[in-house]
Amino acid sequence: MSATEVRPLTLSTNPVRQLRVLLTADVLVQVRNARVLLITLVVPVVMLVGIGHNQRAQMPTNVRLALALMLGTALLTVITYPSTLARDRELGVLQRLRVAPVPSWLILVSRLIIQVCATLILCLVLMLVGGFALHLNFRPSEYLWTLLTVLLGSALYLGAGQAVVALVYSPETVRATSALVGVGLILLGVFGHTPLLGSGFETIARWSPGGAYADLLAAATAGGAWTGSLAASLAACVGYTAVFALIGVRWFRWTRS
Amino acid sequence: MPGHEAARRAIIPPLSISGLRVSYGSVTAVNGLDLDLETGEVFGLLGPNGAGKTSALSAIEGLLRPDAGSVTIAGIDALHQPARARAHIGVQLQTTSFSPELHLVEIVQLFAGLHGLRLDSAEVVRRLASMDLAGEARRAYRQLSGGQQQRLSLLVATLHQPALLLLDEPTSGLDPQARRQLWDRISDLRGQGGTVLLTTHSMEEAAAVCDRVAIIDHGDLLVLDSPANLLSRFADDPRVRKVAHGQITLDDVFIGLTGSHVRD
Repeated sequence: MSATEVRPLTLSTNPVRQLRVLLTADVLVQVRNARVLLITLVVPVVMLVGIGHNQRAQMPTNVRLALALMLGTALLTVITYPSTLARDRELGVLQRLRVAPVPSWLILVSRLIIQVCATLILCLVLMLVGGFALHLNFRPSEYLWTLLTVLLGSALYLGAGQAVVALVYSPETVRATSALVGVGLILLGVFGHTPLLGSGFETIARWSPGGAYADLLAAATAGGAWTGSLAASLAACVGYTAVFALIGVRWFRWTRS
Repeated sequence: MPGHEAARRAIIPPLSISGLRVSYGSVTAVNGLDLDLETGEVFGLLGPNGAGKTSALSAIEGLLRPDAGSVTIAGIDALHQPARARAHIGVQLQTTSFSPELHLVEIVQLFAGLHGLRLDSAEVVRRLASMDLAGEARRAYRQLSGGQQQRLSLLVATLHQPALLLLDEPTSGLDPQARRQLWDRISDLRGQGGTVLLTTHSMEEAAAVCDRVAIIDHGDLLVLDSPANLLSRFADDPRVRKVAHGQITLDDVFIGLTGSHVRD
Protein backbone atom coordinates (compact mmCIF):
# COMPACT_ATOMS: atom_id res chain seq x y z
CA MET A 1 0.00 0.00 0.00
CA SER A 2 1.20 3.49 -0.67
CA ALA A 3 0.86 6.32 1.80
CA THR A 4 -2.03 7.88 -0.08
CA GLU A 5 -4.04 4.64 -0.02
CA VAL A 6 -4.74 4.89 3.70
CA ARG A 7 -6.67 8.11 3.28
CA PRO A 8 -10.35 7.38 3.84
CA LEU A 9 -12.46 6.82 0.76
CA THR A 10 -15.74 8.63 0.41
CA LEU A 11 -18.06 5.82 -0.61
CA SER A 12 -21.77 5.79 -1.23
CA THR A 13 -23.61 3.05 0.61
CA ASN A 14 -26.75 2.26 -1.33
CA PRO A 15 -29.24 0.06 0.62
CA VAL A 16 -30.37 -1.68 -2.59
CA ARG A 17 -26.81 -2.66 -3.43
CA GLN A 18 -26.19 -3.63 0.18
CA LEU A 19 -29.26 -5.86 0.11
CA ARG A 20 -27.99 -7.45 -3.09
CA VAL A 21 -24.62 -8.39 -1.58
CA LEU A 22 -26.28 -9.63 1.61
CA LEU A 23 -28.68 -11.77 -0.44
CA THR A 24 -25.78 -13.20 -2.46
CA ALA A 25 -23.94 -14.17 0.73
CA ASP A 26 -27.08 -15.61 2.34
CA VAL A 27 -27.85 -17.71 -0.76
CA LEU A 28 -24.31 -19.09 -0.71
CA VAL A 29 -24.63 -20.00 2.97
CA GLN A 30 -27.96 -21.69 2.26
CA VAL A 31 -26.60 -23.65 -0.71
CA ARG A 32 -23.47 -24.74 1.19
CA ASN A 33 -25.67 -26.24 3.92
CA ALA A 34 -26.57 -28.96 1.43
CA ARG A 35 -27.67 -31.52 3.99
CA VAL A 36 -30.23 -29.19 5.55
CA LEU A 37 -31.40 -28.11 2.09
CA LEU A 38 -31.79 -31.73 0.99
CA ILE A 39 -33.81 -32.68 4.07
CA THR A 40 -36.13 -29.69 3.74
CA LEU A 41 -36.74 -30.59 0.08
CA VAL A 42 -36.86 -34.37 0.23
CA VAL A 43 -38.98 -34.92 3.34
CA PRO A 44 -42.05 -33.02 2.06
CA VAL A 45 -41.74 -34.68 -1.38
CA VAL A 46 -41.56 -38.12 0.24
CA MET A 47 -44.55 -37.20 2.36
CA LEU A 48 -46.46 -36.22 -0.77
CA VAL A 49 -45.69 -39.20 -3.01
CA GLY A 50 -44.46 -41.82 -0.57
CA ILE A 51 -47.70 -42.49 1.31
CA GLY A 52 -48.91 -46.07 0.73
CA HIS A 53 -51.81 -46.86 -1.59
CA ASN A 54 -54.20 -47.68 1.25
CA GLN A 55 -53.62 -44.31 2.94
CA ARG A 56 -53.78 -42.58 -0.44
CA ALA A 57 -57.26 -43.93 -0.91
CA GLN A 58 -58.34 -42.52 2.45
CA MET A 59 -56.67 -39.12 2.14
CA PRO A 60 -57.60 -36.74 -0.69
CA THR A 61 -54.61 -35.70 -2.76
CA ASN A 62 -55.11 -32.00 -2.06
CA VAL A 63 -54.98 -32.70 1.69
CA ARG A 64 -51.73 -34.63 1.21
CA LEU A 65 -50.32 -31.71 -0.75
CA ALA A 66 -51.46 -29.29 1.97
CA LEU A 67 -49.76 -31.44 4.62
CA ALA A 68 -46.54 -31.62 2.58
CA LEU A 69 -46.63 -27.84 2.13
CA MET A 70 -47.22 -27.32 5.83
CA LEU A 71 -44.28 -29.57 6.67
CA GLY A 72 -42.04 -27.87 4.10
CA THR A 73 -42.98 -24.42 5.38
CA ALA A 74 -42.23 -25.45 8.97
CA LEU A 75 -38.88 -27.04 8.05
CA LEU A 76 -37.65 -24.02 6.10
CA THR A 77 -38.91 -21.34 8.43
CA VAL A 78 -39.71 -22.07 12.05
CA ILE A 79 -37.16 -24.91 12.35
CA THR A 80 -34.18 -23.90 10.17
CA TYR A 81 -34.25 -20.08 10.32
CA PRO A 82 -34.01 -19.57 14.12
CA SER A 83 -31.26 -22.19 14.43
CA THR A 84 -29.09 -20.49 11.81
CA LEU A 85 -29.75 -17.04 13.28
CA ALA A 86 -28.95 -18.23 16.81
CA ARG A 87 -25.72 -19.86 15.59
CA ASP A 88 -24.64 -16.67 13.82
CA ARG A 89 -25.51 -14.61 16.88
CA GLU A 90 -23.41 -16.92 19.03
CA LEU A 91 -20.44 -16.80 16.64
CA GLY A 92 -20.53 -13.00 16.33
CA VAL A 93 -21.42 -13.06 12.62
CA LEU A 94 -24.33 -10.66 13.17
CA GLN A 95 -22.23 -8.20 15.18
CA ARG A 96 -19.56 -8.19 12.47
CA LEU A 97 -22.20 -7.25 9.90
CA ARG A 98 -23.67 -4.59 12.17
CA VAL A 99 -20.41 -2.66 12.40
CA ALA A 100 -20.51 -2.19 8.64
CA PRO A 101 -22.45 0.87 7.43
CA VAL A 102 -25.59 -1.18 6.87
CA PRO A 103 -28.94 -0.71 8.64
CA SER A 104 -29.39 -3.59 11.10
CA TRP A 105 -32.88 -4.37 9.81
CA LEU A 106 -31.45 -5.03 6.34
CA ILE A 107 -29.38 -7.93 7.70
CA LEU A 108 -32.54 -9.69 8.92
CA VAL A 109 -34.60 -8.72 5.87
CA SER A 110 -32.06 -10.41 3.60
CA ARG A 111 -32.28 -13.65 5.58
CA LEU A 112 -36.07 -13.53 5.68
CA ILE A 113 -36.26 -12.97 1.90
CA ILE A 114 -34.08 -16.04 1.30
CA GLN A 115 -36.29 -18.22 3.50
CA VAL A 116 -39.48 -16.95 1.87
CA CYS A 117 -38.06 -17.56 -1.62
CA ALA A 118 -36.90 -21.06 -0.64
CA THR A 119 -40.41 -21.83 0.68
CA LEU A 120 -42.02 -20.58 -2.54
CA ILE A 121 -39.62 -22.69 -4.62
CA LEU A 122 -40.46 -25.72 -2.48
CA CYS A 123 -44.15 -24.99 -3.01
CA LEU A 124 -43.70 -24.95 -6.80
CA VAL A 125 -41.65 -28.17 -6.67
CA LEU A 126 -44.35 -29.91 -4.61
CA MET A 127 -47.12 -28.75 -6.93
CA LEU A 128 -45.18 -29.91 -9.99
CA VAL A 129 -44.36 -33.25 -8.35
CA GLY A 130 -48.04 -33.56 -7.39
CA GLY A 131 -48.96 -32.90 -10.99
CA PHE A 132 -46.63 -35.56 -12.39
CA ALA A 133 -46.82 -38.22 -9.70
CA LEU A 134 -50.38 -37.84 -8.45
CA HIS A 135 -51.97 -36.43 -11.61
CA LEU A 136 -53.12 -33.28 -9.85
CA ASN A 137 -54.19 -30.62 -12.31
CA PHE A 138 -53.84 -27.05 -11.14
CA ARG A 139 -55.23 -24.06 -12.94
CA PRO A 140 -52.97 -20.99 -13.03
CA SER A 141 -55.26 -19.32 -10.48
CA GLU A 142 -54.75 -22.28 -8.12
CA TYR A 143 -50.99 -22.00 -8.50
CA LEU A 144 -51.31 -18.33 -7.64
CA TRP A 145 -53.60 -18.92 -4.64
CA THR A 146 -51.38 -21.65 -3.27
CA LEU A 147 -48.23 -19.55 -3.70
CA LEU A 148 -49.90 -16.59 -1.99
CA THR A 149 -51.05 -18.83 0.84
CA VAL A 150 -47.54 -20.25 1.26
CA LEU A 151 -46.19 -16.70 1.21
CA LEU A 152 -48.51 -15.83 4.09
CA GLY A 153 -47.68 -19.10 5.86
CA SER A 154 -43.95 -18.51 5.57
CA ALA A 155 -44.41 -15.01 7.03
CA LEU A 156 -46.42 -16.53 9.89
CA TYR A 157 -43.91 -19.29 10.59
CA LEU A 158 -40.89 -16.99 10.17
CA GLY A 159 -42.56 -14.68 12.68
CA ALA A 160 -42.82 -17.62 15.07
CA GLY A 161 -39.16 -18.49 14.40
CA GLN A 162 -38.12 -14.89 15.00
CA ALA A 163 -40.05 -14.90 18.27
CA VAL A 164 -38.23 -18.08 19.35
CA VAL A 165 -34.79 -16.63 18.64
CA ALA A 166 -35.82 -13.40 20.38
CA LEU A 167 -36.93 -15.11 23.58
CA VAL A 168 -34.30 -17.87 23.75
CA TYR A 169 -30.55 -17.13 23.60
CA SER A 170 -28.61 -20.39 23.65
CA PRO A 171 -28.29 -21.91 20.14
CA GLU A 172 -28.86 -25.42 21.50
CA THR A 173 -32.05 -24.35 23.26
CA VAL A 174 -33.18 -22.39 20.20
CA ARG A 175 -32.70 -25.54 18.07
CA ALA A 176 -34.74 -27.66 20.48
CA THR A 177 -37.44 -25.02 20.99
CA SER A 178 -37.87 -24.30 17.29
CA ALA A 179 -38.18 -28.03 16.53
CA LEU A 180 -40.86 -28.32 19.21
CA VAL A 181 -42.71 -25.25 17.93
CA GLY A 182 -42.46 -26.53 14.34
CA VAL A 183 -43.82 -29.97 15.22
CA GLY A 184 -46.51 -28.33 17.36
CA LEU A 185 -47.64 -26.12 14.48
CA ILE A 186 -47.83 -29.11 12.13
CA LEU A 187 -49.79 -31.21 14.63
CA LEU A 188 -52.18 -28.34 15.32
CA GLY A 189 -52.71 -28.07 11.57
CA VAL A 190 -53.49 -31.78 11.36
CA PHE A 191 -55.73 -31.94 14.45
CA GLY A 192 -57.55 -28.79 13.42
CA HIS A 193 -59.17 -30.89 10.72
CA THR A 194 -59.96 -34.08 12.59
CA PRO A 195 -62.15 -34.82 15.64
CA LEU A 196 -59.64 -37.49 16.73
CA LEU A 197 -58.91 -35.73 20.04
CA GLY A 198 -62.43 -34.42 20.58
CA SER A 199 -64.37 -31.51 19.13
CA GLY A 200 -63.14 -29.07 21.80
CA PHE A 201 -59.51 -29.67 20.90
CA GLU A 202 -60.39 -29.59 17.22
CA THR A 203 -61.88 -26.12 17.61
CA ILE A 204 -58.84 -24.85 19.52
CA ALA A 205 -56.47 -26.42 16.99
CA ARG A 206 -58.55 -25.08 14.11
CA TRP A 207 -57.96 -21.49 15.26
CA SER A 208 -54.34 -21.96 16.24
CA PRO A 209 -51.59 -20.60 13.91
CA GLY A 210 -51.06 -24.11 12.50
CA GLY A 211 -54.79 -24.77 12.09
CA ALA A 212 -55.59 -21.45 10.41
CA TYR A 213 -52.70 -21.90 7.94
CA ALA A 214 -53.73 -25.52 7.23
CA ASP A 215 -57.28 -24.34 6.56
CA LEU A 216 -56.09 -21.82 3.98
CA LEU A 217 -53.72 -24.34 2.38
CA ALA A 218 -56.40 -27.03 2.08
CA ALA A 219 -58.74 -24.54 0.41
CA ALA A 220 -56.05 -23.21 -1.93
CA THR A 221 -54.92 -26.66 -3.09
CA ALA A 222 -58.53 -27.81 -3.56
CA GLY A 223 -59.43 -24.73 -5.58
CA GLY A 224 -62.48 -24.14 -3.39
CA ALA A 225 -64.61 -21.01 -3.29
CA TRP A 226 -63.84 -18.18 -0.90
CA THR A 227 -65.94 -18.42 2.28
CA GLY A 228 -66.44 -16.47 5.48
CA SER A 229 -64.60 -19.20 7.38
CA LEU A 230 -61.55 -18.76 5.12
CA ALA A 231 -61.67 -15.01 5.67
CA ALA A 232 -61.58 -15.66 9.41
CA SER A 233 -58.59 -18.01 8.94
CA LEU A 234 -56.85 -15.35 6.89
CA ALA A 235 -57.48 -12.75 9.60
CA ALA A 236 -56.19 -15.18 12.24
CA CYS A 237 -53.00 -15.81 10.22
CA VAL A 238 -52.38 -12.09 9.75
CA GLY A 239 -53.03 -11.45 13.45
CA TYR A 240 -50.69 -14.22 14.59
CA THR A 241 -48.00 -12.99 12.17
CA ALA A 242 -48.26 -9.47 13.59
CA VAL A 243 -48.02 -10.71 17.20
CA PHE A 244 -45.07 -13.02 16.48
CA ALA A 245 -43.26 -10.33 14.50
CA LEU A 246 -43.81 -7.83 17.32
CA ILE A 247 -42.31 -10.25 19.86
CA GLY A 248 -39.52 -11.17 17.44
CA VAL A 249 -38.51 -7.56 16.86
CA ARG A 250 -39.15 -6.17 20.35
CA TRP A 251 -37.12 -8.74 22.26
CA PHE A 252 -34.52 -9.73 19.68
CA ARG A 253 -30.91 -9.31 20.84
CA TRP A 254 -27.98 -9.19 18.45
CA THR A 255 -25.66 -10.77 20.98
CA ARG A 256 -26.23 -13.63 23.38
CA SER A 257 -25.14 -11.60 26.42
CA MET B 1 -8.44 13.35 -2.86
CA PRO B 2 -8.86 17.09 -3.44
CA GLY B 3 -6.56 19.34 -1.44
CA HIS B 4 -9.32 20.93 0.65
CA GLU B 5 -10.68 17.49 1.62
CA ALA B 6 -7.23 16.38 2.80
CA ALA B 7 -6.87 19.61 4.76
CA ARG B 8 -10.33 19.12 6.31
CA ARG B 9 -9.39 15.62 7.44
CA ALA B 10 -6.16 16.90 8.94
CA ILE B 11 -8.13 19.39 11.04
CA ILE B 12 -11.05 17.17 12.06
CA PRO B 13 -9.97 14.53 14.59
CA PRO B 14 -10.76 10.94 13.56
CA LEU B 15 -12.43 10.39 16.93
CA SER B 16 -13.69 12.75 19.57
CA ILE B 17 -15.52 11.49 22.65
CA SER B 18 -17.02 13.77 25.25
CA GLY B 19 -18.69 12.83 28.53
CA LEU B 20 -19.43 9.28 27.36
CA ARG B 21 -21.49 7.41 29.91
CA VAL B 22 -22.66 3.80 29.55
CA SER B 23 -24.47 1.85 32.24
CA TYR B 24 -26.18 -1.51 32.57
CA GLY B 25 -28.90 -1.06 35.15
CA SER B 26 -27.22 0.21 38.30
CA VAL B 27 -23.71 -0.68 37.07
CA THR B 28 -21.79 2.13 35.40
CA ALA B 29 -19.45 0.71 32.75
CA VAL B 30 -18.15 3.99 31.34
CA ASN B 31 -18.29 7.10 33.48
CA GLY B 32 -17.92 10.35 31.56
CA LEU B 33 -15.07 9.38 29.24
CA ASP B 34 -13.38 12.17 27.24
CA LEU B 35 -10.95 11.27 24.45
CA ASP B 36 -9.57 12.97 21.37
CA LEU B 37 -7.51 10.94 18.92
CA GLU B 38 -5.07 12.57 16.55
CA THR B 39 -4.74 11.62 12.92
CA GLY B 40 -2.03 9.01 12.39
CA GLU B 41 -1.67 7.80 15.98
CA VAL B 42 -2.09 4.37 17.53
CA PHE B 43 -4.02 4.80 20.76
CA GLY B 44 -4.30 2.08 23.37
CA LEU B 45 -7.26 1.77 25.71
CA LEU B 46 -6.09 -0.31 28.64
CA GLY B 47 -7.91 -1.67 31.64
CA PRO B 48 -8.57 -4.84 33.58
CA ASN B 49 -11.58 -7.07 32.85
CA GLY B 50 -14.80 -5.14 33.33
CA ALA B 51 -13.05 -1.76 33.22
CA GLY B 52 -15.34 -0.50 30.46
CA LYS B 53 -13.09 -0.87 27.40
CA THR B 54 -15.43 -2.97 25.30
CA SER B 55 -18.45 -0.89 26.38
CA ALA B 56 -16.67 2.28 25.27
CA LEU B 57 -15.73 0.65 21.97
CA SER B 58 -19.28 -0.65 21.46
CA ALA B 59 -20.64 2.86 21.94
CA ILE B 60 -18.16 4.21 19.39
CA GLU B 61 -19.15 1.46 16.94
CA GLY B 62 -22.83 2.23 17.45
CA LEU B 63 -23.55 -1.23 18.84
CA LEU B 64 -24.98 0.23 22.03
CA ARG B 65 -26.55 3.56 22.84
CA PRO B 66 -24.79 5.45 25.64
CA ASP B 67 -26.75 7.11 28.44
CA ALA B 68 -24.98 10.41 27.87
CA GLY B 69 -22.15 12.05 25.97
CA SER B 70 -21.18 12.47 22.37
CA VAL B 71 -19.13 10.46 19.88
CA THR B 72 -17.87 12.18 16.75
CA ILE B 73 -16.12 10.15 14.05
CA ALA B 74 -14.37 12.12 11.31
CA GLY B 75 -16.67 15.04 12.08
CA ILE B 76 -19.87 12.95 11.98
CA ASP B 77 -22.12 12.64 15.03
CA ALA B 78 -22.03 8.85 15.49
CA LEU B 79 -24.99 8.77 17.86
CA HIS B 80 -27.37 10.49 15.48
CA GLN B 81 -25.94 9.21 12.20
CA PRO B 82 -24.53 5.80 13.12
CA ALA B 83 -24.57 4.26 9.63
CA ARG B 84 -22.83 7.31 8.13
CA ALA B 85 -20.25 7.31 10.91
CA ARG B 86 -19.65 3.55 10.52
CA ALA B 87 -18.68 4.17 6.90
CA HIS B 88 -15.56 5.90 8.31
CA ILE B 89 -14.50 3.20 10.75
CA GLY B 90 -12.97 -0.21 10.34
CA VAL B 91 -13.67 -2.66 13.13
CA GLN B 92 -12.11 -5.84 14.40
CA LEU B 93 -14.30 -7.08 17.24
CA GLN B 94 -13.10 -9.16 20.18
CA THR B 95 -15.52 -12.01 19.50
CA THR B 96 -16.22 -11.76 15.85
CA SER B 97 -16.68 -14.15 13.04
CA PHE B 98 -17.80 -14.46 9.48
CA SER B 99 -20.22 -17.04 8.13
CA PRO B 100 -18.24 -20.31 8.43
CA GLU B 101 -19.49 -21.56 5.04
CA LEU B 102 -18.35 -18.54 3.02
CA HIS B 103 -15.07 -18.53 1.11
CA LEU B 104 -12.57 -15.75 1.76
CA VAL B 105 -13.20 -14.16 -1.64
CA GLU B 106 -16.92 -14.07 -0.90
CA ILE B 107 -16.40 -12.55 2.54
CA VAL B 108 -14.22 -9.79 1.13
CA GLN B 109 -16.73 -9.11 -1.66
CA LEU B 110 -19.59 -9.02 0.85
CA PHE B 111 -17.97 -6.42 3.07
CA ALA B 112 -16.61 -4.43 0.14
CA GLY B 113 -20.17 -4.29 -1.20
CA LEU B 114 -21.56 -3.16 2.15
CA HIS B 115 -19.05 -0.31 2.10
CA GLY B 116 -19.93 0.61 -1.47
CA LEU B 117 -16.69 -0.71 -2.97
CA ARG B 118 -16.73 -2.67 -6.21
CA LEU B 119 -13.89 -5.20 -6.26
CA ASP B 120 -13.51 -7.81 -8.97
CA SER B 121 -12.10 -11.25 -8.14
CA ALA B 122 -8.56 -10.35 -9.23
CA GLU B 123 -8.55 -7.30 -6.98
CA VAL B 124 -9.92 -9.35 -4.09
CA VAL B 125 -7.15 -11.92 -4.52
CA ARG B 126 -4.59 -9.10 -4.69
CA ARG B 127 -5.87 -7.74 -1.39
CA LEU B 128 -5.86 -11.20 0.15
CA ALA B 129 -2.27 -11.59 -1.04
CA SER B 130 -1.36 -8.41 0.87
CA MET B 131 -2.29 -10.34 4.02
CA ASP B 132 -0.61 -13.58 2.90
CA LEU B 133 -4.01 -15.14 2.33
CA ALA B 134 -4.02 -15.54 -1.47
CA GLY B 135 -3.57 -19.30 -1.12
CA GLU B 136 -6.70 -19.49 1.02
CA ALA B 137 -8.90 -17.40 -1.31
CA ARG B 138 -11.21 -20.32 -2.16
CA ARG B 139 -11.23 -21.90 1.26
CA ALA B 140 -14.11 -21.60 3.70
CA TYR B 141 -13.67 -19.32 6.71
CA ARG B 142 -14.10 -22.27 9.11
CA GLN B 143 -10.99 -23.90 7.61
CA LEU B 144 -8.67 -21.04 8.60
CA SER B 145 -6.30 -21.04 11.55
CA GLY B 146 -6.68 -18.43 14.30
CA GLY B 147 -3.91 -16.26 12.84
CA GLN B 148 -5.41 -16.43 9.35
CA GLN B 149 -8.83 -15.49 10.73
CA GLN B 150 -7.32 -12.46 12.47
CA ARG B 151 -5.52 -11.39 9.27
CA LEU B 152 -8.74 -11.70 7.28
CA SER B 153 -10.58 -9.71 9.93
CA LEU B 154 -7.96 -6.96 9.71
CA LEU B 155 -8.16 -6.97 5.92
CA VAL B 156 -11.95 -6.64 6.02
CA ALA B 157 -11.66 -3.85 8.59
CA THR B 158 -9.30 -1.87 6.36
CA LEU B 159 -10.85 -2.55 2.92
CA HIS B 160 -12.40 0.91 2.71
CA GLN B 161 -9.38 2.74 4.13
CA PRO B 162 -11.21 3.97 7.22
CA ALA B 163 -10.43 7.21 9.02
CA LEU B 164 -10.36 5.21 12.24
CA LEU B 165 -9.53 1.57 12.84
CA LEU B 166 -10.93 0.02 16.03
CA LEU B 167 -9.26 -3.17 17.25
CA ASP B 168 -10.71 -4.92 20.28
CA GLU B 169 -7.99 -7.13 21.80
CA PRO B 170 -6.64 -7.95 18.33
CA THR B 171 -3.89 -10.32 19.43
CA SER B 172 -5.91 -12.26 21.98
CA GLY B 173 -5.30 -15.97 21.43
CA LEU B 174 -2.56 -15.51 18.84
CA ASP B 175 0.83 -17.20 19.01
CA PRO B 176 3.92 -14.93 19.33
CA GLN B 177 4.67 -15.04 15.59
CA ALA B 178 1.15 -14.05 14.59
CA ARG B 179 1.09 -11.39 17.31
CA ARG B 180 4.34 -9.86 16.11
CA GLN B 181 3.08 -9.93 12.53
CA LEU B 182 -0.07 -8.07 13.55
CA TRP B 183 1.98 -5.45 15.40
CA ASP B 184 4.00 -4.93 12.23
CA ARG B 185 0.80 -4.43 10.26
CA ILE B 186 -0.51 -1.91 12.81
CA SER B 187 2.80 -0.05 12.63
CA ASP B 188 2.56 -0.09 8.82
CA LEU B 189 -0.90 1.44 9.03
CA ARG B 190 0.38 4.19 11.30
CA GLY B 191 3.28 4.79 8.95
CA GLN B 192 0.77 5.35 6.18
CA GLY B 193 -1.24 7.89 8.18
CA GLY B 194 -3.92 5.58 9.57
CA THR B 195 -5.40 6.14 13.04
CA VAL B 196 -5.90 3.13 15.29
CA LEU B 197 -7.71 2.72 18.59
CA LEU B 198 -7.04 -0.64 20.19
CA THR B 199 -7.90 -2.26 23.47
CA THR B 200 -5.55 -4.74 25.03
CA HIS B 201 -4.61 -6.50 28.23
CA SER B 202 -1.02 -6.78 27.08
CA MET B 203 1.26 -4.00 28.31
CA GLU B 204 3.94 -5.41 26.03
CA GLU B 205 1.61 -4.79 23.11
CA ALA B 206 0.76 -1.30 24.33
CA ALA B 207 4.43 -0.43 24.69
CA ALA B 208 5.27 -1.92 21.29
CA VAL B 209 2.66 -0.25 19.11
CA CYS B 210 0.87 2.58 20.94
CA ASP B 211 1.81 6.26 20.72
CA ARG B 212 -0.48 7.07 23.63
CA VAL B 213 -2.40 4.94 26.09
CA ALA B 214 -5.31 5.59 28.42
CA ILE B 215 -5.79 3.38 31.47
CA ILE B 216 -9.40 3.10 32.58
CA ASP B 217 -10.93 1.25 35.51
CA HIS B 218 -14.50 1.01 36.74
CA GLY B 219 -15.43 3.24 33.83
CA ASP B 220 -13.16 6.10 34.93
CA LEU B 221 -10.18 7.41 33.00
CA LEU B 222 -7.21 7.09 35.39
CA VAL B 223 -4.38 8.35 33.23
CA LEU B 224 -3.59 9.25 29.62
CA ASP B 225 -0.06 9.60 28.24
CA SER B 226 2.58 7.96 26.08
CA PRO B 227 3.97 4.66 27.40
CA ALA B 228 7.39 6.26 27.94
CA ASN B 229 5.91 9.20 29.85
CA LEU B 230 3.81 6.88 32.01
CA LEU B 231 6.96 5.02 33.05
CA SER B 232 8.77 8.21 34.01
CA ARG B 233 5.72 9.82 35.67
CA PHE B 234 4.94 6.85 37.91
CA ALA B 235 8.47 5.52 38.51
CA ASP B 236 8.43 6.88 42.06
CA ASP B 237 4.74 6.34 42.78
CA PRO B 238 4.47 4.21 45.95
CA ARG B 239 1.54 2.18 44.48
CA VAL B 240 3.73 1.26 41.52
CA ARG B 241 6.91 0.61 43.52
CA LYS B 242 4.94 -1.69 45.81
CA VAL B 243 4.07 -4.08 42.98
CA ALA B 244 7.29 -3.77 40.98
CA HIS B 245 9.82 -6.57 40.73
CA GLY B 246 13.05 -4.78 39.84
CA GLN B 247 12.94 -2.22 37.04
CA ILE B 248 9.56 -0.47 36.64
CA THR B 249 7.57 -1.71 33.65
CA LEU B 250 4.28 -0.65 32.11
CA ASP B 251 2.76 -3.74 33.73
CA ASP B 252 3.77 -2.34 37.14
CA VAL B 253 2.25 1.05 36.36
CA PHE B 254 -0.95 -0.65 35.22
CA ILE B 255 -1.24 -2.89 38.30
CA GLY B 256 -0.19 -0.10 40.62
CA LEU B 257 -2.97 2.14 39.32
CA THR B 258 -5.73 -0.47 38.95
CA GLY B 259 -4.92 -2.72 41.92
CA SER B 260 -3.62 -6.26 42.29
CA HIS B 261 -6.89 -8.07 42.88
CA VAL B 262 -8.01 -10.41 40.11
CA ARG B 263 -11.04 -9.30 38.08
CA ASP B 264 -13.65 -11.63 36.62
